[in-house]
Amino acid sequence: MSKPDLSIEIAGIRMRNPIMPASGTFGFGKELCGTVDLNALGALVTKGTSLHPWHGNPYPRTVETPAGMLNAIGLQNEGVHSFIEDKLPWLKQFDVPVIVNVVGKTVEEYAEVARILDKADGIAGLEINVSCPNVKEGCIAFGCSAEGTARVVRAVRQVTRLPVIPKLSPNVTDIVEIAHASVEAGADALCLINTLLGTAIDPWTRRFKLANITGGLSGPAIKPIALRMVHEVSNAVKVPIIGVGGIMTAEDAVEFILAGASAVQVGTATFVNPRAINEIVVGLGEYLEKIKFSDVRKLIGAVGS
Amino acid sequence: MNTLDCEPKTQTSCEILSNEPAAPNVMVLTARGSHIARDTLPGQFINIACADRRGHDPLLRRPFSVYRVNKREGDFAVLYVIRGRGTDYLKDRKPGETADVVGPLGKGFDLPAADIHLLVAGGSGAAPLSMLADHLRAKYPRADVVSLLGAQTAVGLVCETDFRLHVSRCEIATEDATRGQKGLVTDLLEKELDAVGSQSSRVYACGPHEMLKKVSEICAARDVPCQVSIETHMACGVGVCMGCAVKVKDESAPDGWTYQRCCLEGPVFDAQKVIWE
Repeated sequence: MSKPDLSIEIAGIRMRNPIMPASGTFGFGKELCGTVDLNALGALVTKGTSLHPWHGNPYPRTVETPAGMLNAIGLQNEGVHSFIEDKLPWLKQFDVPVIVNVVGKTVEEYAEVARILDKADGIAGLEINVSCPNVKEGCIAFGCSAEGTARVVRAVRQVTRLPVIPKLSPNVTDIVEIAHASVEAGADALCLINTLLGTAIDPWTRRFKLANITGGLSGPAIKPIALRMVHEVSNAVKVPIIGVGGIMTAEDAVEFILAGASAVQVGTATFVNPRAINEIVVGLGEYLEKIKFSDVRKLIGAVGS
Repeated sequence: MNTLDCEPKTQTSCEILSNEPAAPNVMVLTARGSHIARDTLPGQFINIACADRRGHDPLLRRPFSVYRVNKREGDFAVLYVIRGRGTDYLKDRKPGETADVVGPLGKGFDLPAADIHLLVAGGSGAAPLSMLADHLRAKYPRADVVSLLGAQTAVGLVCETDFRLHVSRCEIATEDATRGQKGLVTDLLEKELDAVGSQSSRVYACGPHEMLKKVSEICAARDVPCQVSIETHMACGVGVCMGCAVKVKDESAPDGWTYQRCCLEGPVFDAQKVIWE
């Protein structure tokens, strides 16, 4: 059998494999470009990018938890103009689709960022962050309701022809409802899940461990929840799903693909092992060889078959 | 942008050579890693995994300043305080076992010339300054390199023997007067700077946050250049998560400040650029 085919196409974005970094765990590619082969990634998903620069939250921003961590970074970024002037030209030297994660405090801000990115050259798609739990306004306010999510997706849809991929929050009563509303508003694919809202307290100082009090839980601890939601949503909608939440190994990635994801994102794993993403790509190829599947697409939604 | 951004953040499996107590609750771990021994600059750190067989708990690596390197032998050492779950795991590691290390990481100390270099160490902060003393002595054989060591009590003093190999003078202060002058290491710093006269001096500090803040104030008042090695919680240690935020003055930012990363723009910072809180 010749080498398995790992390539996938999502919303018109052609990827050499279904593995990409999760937003906020890979910067804009520069810090790990000497460590990870960027040309071996399925895509590169950038840190959340806002209209104006955002400072982010005060320190402490991270806390380790059992088999996971909380983060309350607060979407620190230099803004979309800095991205277009400094980071995008640098990214163009690589042969990897660039998906820009878009954040905003108002519907207008999301749309304005999308409009600016639509005009730029070298962007393959937009991931719409309606679900980050760490910013006071926007994001979570929108992502917790079907109506709020739809409003943002519609506003973005109107200003761009780029693939629009909302990233959904798990901190909701019914993620399937939000998924439906996103698709009806024009989403080309869905990414789920974002982090779960959590907190931690230091018993000896008797204070919260995060300056922001709450943060988003990520890592192996959340995998069962993420996997269940990917499965539920993939059964409910027809657009491709990008699954994310606690993937540390190629086998974890396979679980998400079997559950219905066409591609996956790897986040916290990179903090533990900077080369995790490259290793997961290799591991996925080895898995397909072992089970004698020639094509990763045969695995999508194939649980139980 | 920082040239360290693109530097490889290399992962190495390092054979542990020794892991011994240096003081109550303080250990020194030595391991083999020739590229770490070769490439580490004073003030840089390494990120060590603290879980069984790459398990998921404790999940994250722990960052430690590099204490010593031996380029000829190809080994390096870190000095660490047993403080939480990660270091509790690390303290039980034995020679022959493997340390999973990412590094060297971060921006270390700058070594510009001066008549007098004052190294201000609080407790285990002595470790990276010990490596710095070695480098300063090698680069500036005729300069005065002076170490000021402080601890709560005599048994908390570490690295004294290493310092005495490289420095012209080593002064000690303990809060309970069990060794040296009674009081804080910052008292020693004030005394030294008062005696400097017309000579040029530079200060390098590592220790508890309150100590660094006080050192910064003392140096600002006397217009003495000062570098501080700051410690924060870290998740990734390689500059991608934005967790290790240090507030610094930044003229290019609209409101004059920004958060920089302790793991990439630091851990060594210009004390006068830090916004101390």
